[in-house]
Amino acid sequence: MTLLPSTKTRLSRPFNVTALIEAILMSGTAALLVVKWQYGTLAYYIHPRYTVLVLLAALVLFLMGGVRLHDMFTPSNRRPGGLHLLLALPLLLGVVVPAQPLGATTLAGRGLELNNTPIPWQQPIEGDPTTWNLLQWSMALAVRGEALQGEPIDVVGFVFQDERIGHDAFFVGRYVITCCAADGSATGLPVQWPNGETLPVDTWVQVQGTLTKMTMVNGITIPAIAATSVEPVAQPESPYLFP
Amino acid sequence: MEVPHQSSASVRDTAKRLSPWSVVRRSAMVMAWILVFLLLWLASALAVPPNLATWTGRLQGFTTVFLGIFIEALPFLLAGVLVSSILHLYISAERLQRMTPHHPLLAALSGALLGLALPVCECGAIPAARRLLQKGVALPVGIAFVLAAPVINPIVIISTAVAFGGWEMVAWRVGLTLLFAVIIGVLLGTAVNASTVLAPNVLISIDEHDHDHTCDHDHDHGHEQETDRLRQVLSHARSEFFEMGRFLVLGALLAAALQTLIPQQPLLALGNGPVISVLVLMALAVVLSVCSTVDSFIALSFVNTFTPGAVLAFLVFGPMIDIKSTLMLTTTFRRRIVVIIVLLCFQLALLAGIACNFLL
Repeated sequence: MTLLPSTKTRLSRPFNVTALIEAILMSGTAALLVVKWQYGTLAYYIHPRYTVLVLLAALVLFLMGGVRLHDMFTPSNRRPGGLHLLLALPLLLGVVVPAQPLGATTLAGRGLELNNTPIPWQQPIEGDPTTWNLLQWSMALAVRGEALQGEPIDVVGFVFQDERIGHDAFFVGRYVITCCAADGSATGLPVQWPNGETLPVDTWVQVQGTLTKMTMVNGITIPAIAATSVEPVAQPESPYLFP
Repeated sequence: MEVPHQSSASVRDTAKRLSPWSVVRRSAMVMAWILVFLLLWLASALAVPPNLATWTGRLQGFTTVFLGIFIEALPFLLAGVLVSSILHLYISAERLQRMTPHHPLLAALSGALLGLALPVCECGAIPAARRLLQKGVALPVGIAFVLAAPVINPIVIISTAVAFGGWEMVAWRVGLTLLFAVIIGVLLGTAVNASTVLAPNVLISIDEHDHDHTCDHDHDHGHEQETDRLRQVLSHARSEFFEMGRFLVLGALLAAALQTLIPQQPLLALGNGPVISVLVLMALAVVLSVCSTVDSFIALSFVNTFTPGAVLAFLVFGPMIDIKSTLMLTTTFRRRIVVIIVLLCFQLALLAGIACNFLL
């Protein structure tokens, strides 16, 4: 219907700017999603199980943008407005702001989970403890607690500083995502390491050692890693953990 | 289709130019966009002075959360506008009106269960409900559908069952949602007439429906080609996508801002108490604004720290009301009605949560 030139409307413009802008916005957003997927940064925003859905959405957006381009030379007196600026925001933010996974700097608003509350979707955590990631460790600690003392540990995470654990220690943490970055919550363990508080936040490290206990500044005792080695490593391909 | 839209838009344009508010609004827009570009520059980390680096970090976190919500909701919103366009182009209003019952209670009930056939979450339910209402479906059907469809649909029922490893929580969730949707659908759908409930642009299309229909008809006779039909669906879906999308963007912005500014840990520390815990998880449901297809997995992490009533309230209230869906509801209902819907859902969910804590 939009293709039929209307006799009722005044012909105010030789071509339809709104159509062009809408086409650019839609295909631009689609391209952004595909590029982020190609570079592997789509996983910074959503759980990987949605990747297929997001790519389908990109396809639909491309098609819609292409169809809209046909209206280019259909005169219209609708002007682009605030609505288009608003829908340009995701595209602008996606292009201008470098893709960053949630990290230590965003922890301030969320806080690190210290009490290791049991997570009910846990499967029984078995096998070699050195193959467990931080999420599996927090689940195992919630169930087995004391029994894990002295077990060997080998985990990767980002550095997070918290004054609650005092000197010669730092936190190693990972974000756990169930759906998208909006529901991310951090899990982690304190690491005993000389001058640990001087490590720069958000550095990715591999921590090896054994499980021990430490007393925080406020007098509460929590599980911790007695580290034998702390090595800087590259950020894992998937920075989050998924339950 | 564009014809009535254009003429009403031009009327609005003239009205806007005459109003003294337009000057205030325009300067506010300019200020807002200067602010946006300032924040964009800070977040881009391009030549940002080191003493502002913490801001860069926080803004990048904000961007990640914002794009997380937006990208996750995008496929579902697109599914919703596609369903709505197909409804619009291929199912005539007469048929739809004949198919749905007219008795308010039955109408609300059928609306609440319609999600079983049209599996959409809250981003998709609103465009679909809007289209149903534009097609002249009885009010209780549309209202009950918009509230219940995010929970009463196969995907969400299965994901809840998987998350909680059983059918007990599913039964409670579906039962309460059905009850609330029917109550609100009957209350709002019978007490007032359509013009006081529906947003003006929804009403316009009901009035001009006859015109729409003949227009469709002529066109279909002209080109009976598959590609043309696809083009029509996509073209319709596009206009609705732009109408709904702005509220998704606004809602995601607000939710991300609240998440960056309000620390969650103190909020969660309030986990105890049969009343406070319910209020806390309901507030969290609004702030998180996650899709109903996954919120049961999030609710699961609260099971041990919060009361059962609070978790139930989170599961029932969250899909009905959150920041982005509330904003999107204003495309379909008058603002006053949206406020009433939010308050009713809030009261009912709070009541159910507290009752569950005391009685079970």
